[in-house]
Amino acid sequence: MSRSAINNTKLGIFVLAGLLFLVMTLFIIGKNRSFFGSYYSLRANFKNIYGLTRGNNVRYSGIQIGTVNDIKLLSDTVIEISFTVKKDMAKFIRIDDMVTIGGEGLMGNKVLNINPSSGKGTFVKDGDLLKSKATVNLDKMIEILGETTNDIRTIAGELQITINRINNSTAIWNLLKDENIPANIRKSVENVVAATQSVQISATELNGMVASVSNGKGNLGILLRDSSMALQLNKTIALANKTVKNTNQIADDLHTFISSIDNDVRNGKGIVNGLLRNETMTTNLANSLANIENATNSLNQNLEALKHNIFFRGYFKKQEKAKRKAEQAAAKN
Amino acid sequence: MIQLPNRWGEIVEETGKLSQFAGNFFVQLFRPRFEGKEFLRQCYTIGYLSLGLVGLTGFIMGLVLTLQVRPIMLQYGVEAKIPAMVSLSIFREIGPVITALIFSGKIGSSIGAELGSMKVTEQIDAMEVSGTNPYKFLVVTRVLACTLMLPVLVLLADLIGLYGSFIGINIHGSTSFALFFKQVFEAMSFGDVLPAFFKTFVFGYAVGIIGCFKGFNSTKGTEGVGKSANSAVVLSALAVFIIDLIAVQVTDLFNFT
Repeated sequence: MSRSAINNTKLGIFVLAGLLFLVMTLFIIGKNRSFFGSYYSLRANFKNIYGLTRGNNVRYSGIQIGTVNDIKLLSDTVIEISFTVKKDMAKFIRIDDMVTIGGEGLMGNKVLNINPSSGKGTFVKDGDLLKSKATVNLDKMIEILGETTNDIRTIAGELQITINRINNSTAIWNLLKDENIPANIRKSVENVVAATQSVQISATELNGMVASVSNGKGNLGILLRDSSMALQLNKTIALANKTVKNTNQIADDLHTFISSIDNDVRNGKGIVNGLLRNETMTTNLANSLANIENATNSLNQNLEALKHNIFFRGYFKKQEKAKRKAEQAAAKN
Repeated sequence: MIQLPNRWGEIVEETGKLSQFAGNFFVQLFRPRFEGKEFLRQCYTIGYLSLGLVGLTGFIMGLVLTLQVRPIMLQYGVEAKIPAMVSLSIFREIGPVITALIFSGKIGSSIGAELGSMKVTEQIDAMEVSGTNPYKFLVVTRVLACTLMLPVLVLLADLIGLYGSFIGINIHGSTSFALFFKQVFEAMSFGDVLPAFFKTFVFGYAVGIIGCFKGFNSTKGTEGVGKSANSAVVLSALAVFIIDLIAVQVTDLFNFT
């Protein structure tokens, strides 16, 4: 090979290397800017796009899938963003997915984010309009941050006052300086431990008692667990119910009876009415009672005369003797 | 006739001559006969043989730029943006301009000196007498080679410069090759590459045509040759900056992104 041919070969390699780099650069940029391959064009409407421009990236769950293609002002409050996404991503993007405007860090470019939704909507088609959500911009964040700083300042001021009070309080420092306190606390803790142990023992015993009761042991156990007693109790209750019913019946009867008497009294009928209202009967009754008393007195005199009668005297003396003996026996005991 | 001071008159006259000389290139370019062999030889000399110098410059450019911007980027907490920033600087401005300046220093001076010595030794006149078109054989081939080789040199200088930047980042920090180039190409758009690429053709043409013009119009013997070489470098370097200014304005005007 002649020198000229070698030089031409070197020149060819040199030129090809340069052109290859140019083509590769243009291809990669074109690929990044969605110039090659199949793409779907989608849309989203916003009120404010916070500086998003043509060529900004479109991301689906953080994955780069396309670029912003066009921005149109539809009205004074609606800005339509057209963006392209790779066609093979269309099987993941649903019509109810939410589009937001974000940023690549504080100083980075703006990014259009597509956030997956519940996964119930239909998959997008070319030209579809997706839902959009306004995001908090940097100015708003700074405003919130300012409010938070003011709150923190207030809290810090109050905290400072509290700390000053603590510093000025001799009682707290005396409390902290008191060397007996640790010993006391230790003692208290020991007491608490001991008390806890006692409680534990009591609890164990209580458990045993509960177990006994559960097993039907002891009076309480028998009371709670014995089925025959329950049966008896049921019977007693049934009997009590019956008694109550009877009592009710009696009370009703009594009520009826009293009502009838009350009626009689009101209507001026019956014996009770006579007793209560008829003065003649009352007088007669009083006379009769007086006669009975007189008769009783006469009878007492007759009986007294009988005691002294010769035929009956022996009987009454025997009676007195027996009575005296019984009293003496009772006095001895 | 307008009377101008001597110095200004010379400048205007020189400008007129240069414009005529530059316009003649397009006339002669499409006229047969084509000096293909000489063109390839010039491409090899101008392009391939300049690769070492341009590549080294590009590498240092990328490395130094990265090391220089790193502290300030670190101060703002955007160290991760160094690849994007350096690549944009290299592709948009530093790569084309620095390479064109190096190119004007090496190629502009060599063309000026070569043609100047041919002029003062009357080789150009002899060529004309022998029936060869000296403009076509000497100027068109060299200017065309400059116009086509400088963009290739700039592209390779950009690539080497990016590699230098990658090395620069890895001196203090650590990043993978794949991540670095991903960040570089994510940051770039066609508006960053294409206007910069197209202006390098103009840079190459300017360097070539000024070198040839200065050599072709060389006078006063060997002293004139040195002067031609020197003025070729100075004027072509100045032309590079002026063309760059115009290119940036035009790019801004059309909002090419």
